[in-house]
Amino acid sequence: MGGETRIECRGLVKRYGTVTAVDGIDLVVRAGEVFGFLGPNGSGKTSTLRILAGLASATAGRARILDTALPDPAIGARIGSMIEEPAFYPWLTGRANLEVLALTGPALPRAGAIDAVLDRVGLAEAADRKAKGYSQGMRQRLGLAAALVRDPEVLLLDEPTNGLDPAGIRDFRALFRALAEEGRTVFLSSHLLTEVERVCDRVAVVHRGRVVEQGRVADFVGAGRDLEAVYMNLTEDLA
Amino acid sequence: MRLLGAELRKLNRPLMWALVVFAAAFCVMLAIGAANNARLDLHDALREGGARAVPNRLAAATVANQLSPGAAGAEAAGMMASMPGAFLAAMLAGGHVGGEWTGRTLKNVLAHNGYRGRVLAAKAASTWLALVVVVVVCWAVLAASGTLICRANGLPHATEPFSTGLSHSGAQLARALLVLAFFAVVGLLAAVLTRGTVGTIAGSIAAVVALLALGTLPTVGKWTPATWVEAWMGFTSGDRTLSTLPDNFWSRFTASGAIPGHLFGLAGMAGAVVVPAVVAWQVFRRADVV
Repeated sequence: MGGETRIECRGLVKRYGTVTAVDGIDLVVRAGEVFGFLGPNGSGKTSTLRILAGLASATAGRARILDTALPDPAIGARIGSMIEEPAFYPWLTGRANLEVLALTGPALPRAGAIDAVLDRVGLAEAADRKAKGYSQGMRQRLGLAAALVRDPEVLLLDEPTNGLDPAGIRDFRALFRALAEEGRTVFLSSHLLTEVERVCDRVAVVHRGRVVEQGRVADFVGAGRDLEAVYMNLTEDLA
Repeated sequence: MRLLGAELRKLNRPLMWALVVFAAAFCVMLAIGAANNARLDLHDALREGGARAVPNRLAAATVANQLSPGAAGAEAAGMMASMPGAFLAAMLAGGHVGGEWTGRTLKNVLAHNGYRGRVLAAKAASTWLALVVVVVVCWAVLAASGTLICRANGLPHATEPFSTGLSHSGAQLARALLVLAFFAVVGLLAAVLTRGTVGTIAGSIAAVVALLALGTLPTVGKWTPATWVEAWMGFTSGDRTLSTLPDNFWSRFTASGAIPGHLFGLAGMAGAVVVPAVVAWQVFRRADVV
């Protein structure tokens, strides 16, 4: 896990009025890693992801993705993101939603990218159905397809397995590992600690806007401990 | 252009087609109403004769001319460059622009294209193009139905040459393009400020109504977009008659009196398009998107 740095946050701060959502986060995520970003509700995970995805500006500190200082309007073409619940145009089919998103940015890296990504996330058969009829699991799959359609080097995923059945969770887990093996960086937040433990190489636990612990999953678990016990200890101690 | 293509593709939606049907139906209903009024007036004139005969016959001939295929475009342009168009633009902006916040789809757009100025420009341009399509459809519907409506009501044949009507329609349509751009950027600004469908619709309509109210004030009226629209489109000041087919629903809400010339209206309208667009850009360029 000694790849080059893909995501870097230094002293990242985000305030909404008097509320400090992110309070000086420091992170480094490398190429080929699946990185888990853990924390209780309201701990600043989504705010951090929004800053990295270019949807919000930091109040202080700096963030870099792929050696590019944020905010940078061009970075969207090189990263894929799924922040909070995926949302689509309900009157369009799943495929048409991806086609519209493809037209929204620069040309896709290769012809047939939409069919390939629909196949990769397991949505090929339902691709020509209107998105308004999709189940939550299918929306998650379409959201992941939208994040992957530009063949990004970095993926930012917020609770990507929400609403998925066990088979879907297994599919996503395999997909994240495959993406990391291709050299991509997967940065995901999740509440499913057992899933994080299975799929992530490294994790950071964030609480009240600060990273309280980070390291390799293998260093957290073992000797009768699992990630859930470590997480509960960390967040309850600080509560 | 790719981004504009994406925005136009999103407009292939039930809301857009409902608005097109509503606008066309509104125009046809007005035409039926005006033709029916003209028929009744003409009938009275023929029965009673006297002083009312000449103006009533003229009114009937005017309606027939207004509804001829060439001239019907001026009606469509006048309707859309006044209150009905402002209402439609508010609805369209509510769904097409404000709906990106309500449906939480804006984050997808910005994730694929972080150039926020381009995103706003594509939204404004696509809204404007959709409104132009509505004008053209209304013209086509009036052109197709106008002659039949006149014939059904026993009105005289149109006396105006086709080319004269077409020339007038072309001029009014060209002028309406700027007014439609104004309505589109008002919707854009309302969307950026209110971040939702309902807020965009309410904000857009409230802005237009407020501008019309301001336009009635003797001291500031001349310097409001309400007067500039009137001047630019050449709408008759204080036009409150329904004896012929009304060519706008704007001047009946503004103060009567001298209207500034076209150039004054053009300069005012240009400013009225640019200012909301710049404000929308300033608000949107740094706004957090959830």
